[in-house]
Amino acid sequence: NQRKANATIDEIWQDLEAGLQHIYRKEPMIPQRYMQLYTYVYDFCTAVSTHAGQGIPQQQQKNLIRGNNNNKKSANMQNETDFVGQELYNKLTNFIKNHVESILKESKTRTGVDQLRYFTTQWDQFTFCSRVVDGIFAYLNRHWIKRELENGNNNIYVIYTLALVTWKQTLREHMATSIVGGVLDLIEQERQGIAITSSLVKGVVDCLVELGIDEVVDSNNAAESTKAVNPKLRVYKKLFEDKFILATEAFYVCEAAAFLQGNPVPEYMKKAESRLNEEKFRCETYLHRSSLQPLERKCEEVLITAQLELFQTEFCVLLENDRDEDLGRMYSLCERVEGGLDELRKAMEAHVQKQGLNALEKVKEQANTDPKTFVLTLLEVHNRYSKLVEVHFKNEAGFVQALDKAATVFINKNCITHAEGSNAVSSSKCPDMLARYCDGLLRKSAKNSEDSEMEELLNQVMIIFKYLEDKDIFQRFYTKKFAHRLVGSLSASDEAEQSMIGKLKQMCGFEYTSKMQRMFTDTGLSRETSEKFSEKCSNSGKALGCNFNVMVLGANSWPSLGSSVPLNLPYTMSTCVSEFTSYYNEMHQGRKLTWIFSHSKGEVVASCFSKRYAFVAMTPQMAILLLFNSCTEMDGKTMLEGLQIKKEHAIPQLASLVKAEILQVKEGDVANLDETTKIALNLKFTNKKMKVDLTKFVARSEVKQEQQEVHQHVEENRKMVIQAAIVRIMKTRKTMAHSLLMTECINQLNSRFKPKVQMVKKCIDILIEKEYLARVDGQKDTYEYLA
Amino acid sequence: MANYFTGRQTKNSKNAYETPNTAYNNNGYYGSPLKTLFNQYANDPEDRDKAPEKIGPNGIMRLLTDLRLDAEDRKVLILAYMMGAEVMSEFSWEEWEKGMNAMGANSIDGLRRKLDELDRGLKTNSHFGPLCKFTFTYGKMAGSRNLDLDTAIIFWKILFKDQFPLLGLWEEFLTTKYKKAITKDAWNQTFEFADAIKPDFSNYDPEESWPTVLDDFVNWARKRFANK
Repeated sequence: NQRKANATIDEIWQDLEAGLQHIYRKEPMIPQRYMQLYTYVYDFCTAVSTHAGQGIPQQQQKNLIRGNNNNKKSANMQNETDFVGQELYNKLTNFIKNHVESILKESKTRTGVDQLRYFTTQWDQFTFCSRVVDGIFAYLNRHWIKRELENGNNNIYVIYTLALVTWKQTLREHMATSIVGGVLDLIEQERQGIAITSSLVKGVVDCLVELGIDEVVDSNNAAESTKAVNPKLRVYKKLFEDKFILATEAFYVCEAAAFLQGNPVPEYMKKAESRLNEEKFRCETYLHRSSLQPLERKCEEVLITAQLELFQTEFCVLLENDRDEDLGRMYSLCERVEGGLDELRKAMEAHVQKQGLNALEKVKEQANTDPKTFVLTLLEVHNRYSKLVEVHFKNEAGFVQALDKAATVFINKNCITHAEGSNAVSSSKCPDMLARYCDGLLRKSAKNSEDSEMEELLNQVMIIFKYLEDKDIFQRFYTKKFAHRLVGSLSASDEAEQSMIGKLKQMCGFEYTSKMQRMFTDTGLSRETSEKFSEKCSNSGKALGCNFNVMVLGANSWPSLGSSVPLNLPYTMSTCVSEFTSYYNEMHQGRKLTWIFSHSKGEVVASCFSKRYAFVAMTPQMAILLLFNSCTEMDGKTMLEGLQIKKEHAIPQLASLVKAEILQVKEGDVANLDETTKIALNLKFTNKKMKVDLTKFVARSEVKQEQQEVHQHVEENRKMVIQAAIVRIMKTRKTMAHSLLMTECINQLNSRFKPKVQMVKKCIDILIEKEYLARVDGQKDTYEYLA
Repeated sequence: MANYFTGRQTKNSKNAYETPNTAYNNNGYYGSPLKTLFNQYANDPEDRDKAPEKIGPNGIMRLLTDLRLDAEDRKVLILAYMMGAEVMSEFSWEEWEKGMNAMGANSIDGLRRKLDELDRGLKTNSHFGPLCKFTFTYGKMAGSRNLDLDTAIIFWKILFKDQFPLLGLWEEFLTTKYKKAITKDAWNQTFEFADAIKPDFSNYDPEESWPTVLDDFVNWARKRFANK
């Protein structure tokens, strides 16, 4: 082939067109031919200047160019090239248009899958070939077209784009109806379970996406840009996605209605779940990823939102029947739509509350007196549903909250704590039960748990404790029991005690457990003190005549253990007491020791019976027994004189020994305990054991009294705590609206107890009267702090 | 008839002997109409020991007679309030002078007219609130924080006249259930309550900032309504 210097358009176009046809037939082309075609374009574009003037008068040309171009100078320099570029461009446009029209014509003769196959194949070829053509026209792209674009001519495209735009313009209608219709048919078939050639769908989708190549953000159409639709996807969305979503909706509306007619809701949920997965997979496989969100939204709307009422009804049934897996499935479905979980949470709260109350109602008789039954019943219900929430509801915050609310109700307000005919003391029932349950765990006994097991049991206690409204009442009961365990050396293990205190501290803060901690410390220090005292006694040669251990308890940290009852101790013991008192006073000046004999105990050996027995006895019991060292029988009056104790304190102690059959009443009545009462040693006493615990024979009358005492203290104490909280808040806030102050105050105290609104208001009254607070002038609902 | 205006000698009258001198200074000449009027009632023979150089209990009784006022008339309280009287049943010269000037009155007739006017406009003018607050301090025993229940009820009756339909119920509650002295806050809030709350309590919310005595009252009264 010879290069022709001054080629005219007609001269080159004939062969160029033949080349283009060759390319679009997708027949193999040798590089030389490709180069030849490229050269035609190059030559034509570069040679133009020499024959520029031939066709058109110069003047006219200039005007033409001015009209196109604002930059006069550059326009003059480039004018001829501009003109000729346009000519070549137009020829090519026409060529492509004819080619595409022939495709359209052919495509219209086909239908269904055949049509889709033809269309996608043609598309693939077309894009491939257009890229080749784009290469041949590279020189035009780089110069004439580039300049036109730079000058803002919107009707000129880079050659490859030109090809796609032409395709789009020509085939738009055809694609929108036949092709997309065919694709939607295919998808529907697949939804019905028929296998399809998904590559056909993918081919069309890719085509539509690629056809967005020339779309730009349309500044006139602000509404569209706010929807943040990528302009490049406009064709895809408009021609395909919108219709696809509509088809999806129609399909699933039908399917859901039909399926629910013949199937129960759990089956429907499985179906919905798998449908949602399928659609996601579909989108990932052959649709554009931007369709995922609208597709999922639509499916959720039809499959879930539209059925929410049905779900809510079914939810209760599933709860009743413990269908955990179905519940979980319902959760994951409803979680996907807005507000889908609201009703479910409410339903669960009501259900759990009812379950808790029912469970207690069933064991009412036993739970009323047995803390273990009470606590374990509560735990069982809580654990059942906490597991449900954790495993199947993924610990979603709203469900956790609903569970908490329900638990708070059934733990604090149930048939045990609010039994009919109960008095005001009843609000302390739950804390009392829990404290007694703890006592049962931590007290030394034959069936104490292993360390690891104990830890778990204490953790379970903390679950109930967390929901307890009256934590301050629990604190008092617990402290009392704790004191008894420490004083009586009844703790199963120090580690367990310490661990429990640690847990309480973690939940309620340092202040809550500071007294318990000091009690613990006192006990440890007492051990040391006792040892040192014994050491000192033996070193200084003073024989005490017995083993002597003492516990020194700080009056501020320990709950009242009952008043100190004066008692005339037997000689041996009184020596110990006075020796220790002087020893202790020497060590710590200014401290006053008060001896509480009613809580101390010891061991005595009796050699007057058939066998030699050791008795573990409370100190007052011991004092009585030791009286019988000098005689075997005495009257009540003598006994009281010997003991120097008040009658009402002596009677229960004496009664315990009579009950233990060590003493017997010869004449009169223990209840009178005067000259007429004759008490004698029962010399026939026998027992299987060599060591007999007499302490357990002492009747315990304290429980009721303890409850009342605790309750009274708590009321007073709460008022002080509330007032302190109000003052603290007002001190920092200076002025505050009534409702805010109430909320803040109740929030601050929630970890200790649940203050009643009326009580807080009462405290505000008191503080106004005491002139800590005043109402702000003219704003009766706002208080100010008076410094 | 209540005896709240007589015999309750409470706060010690300070500077009692200095008052005549200030009269010269303020009025320029001895014997101004105000002073003359004052002297008609001051130093009543029976008051002289208790309230020298002041209008004492008997002087006040004569003044009220001249004003044609009953002792339980609200205008009597308005008079005391306008005078800024510190002690019940007593007016010092300063109080008299200040009050009369504030009311723009210098004769018995002028005073009577002014009191009528103030009383009539009490619901609309800005004096009602301050008058109520004044009454609490005026009526309570010196050294006491609160107002005696009986005194409080009498004053409420005078102040409210017929404008608080629940007053009877309120009185019954206070005398049969509450039976304690009235705190300043409860006193003040009762007027707010009378102003804001409907007689059927339908707009009463015990969670709001009412003092608890009012909560208890409404609770009690609602139960009574329910039982009827």
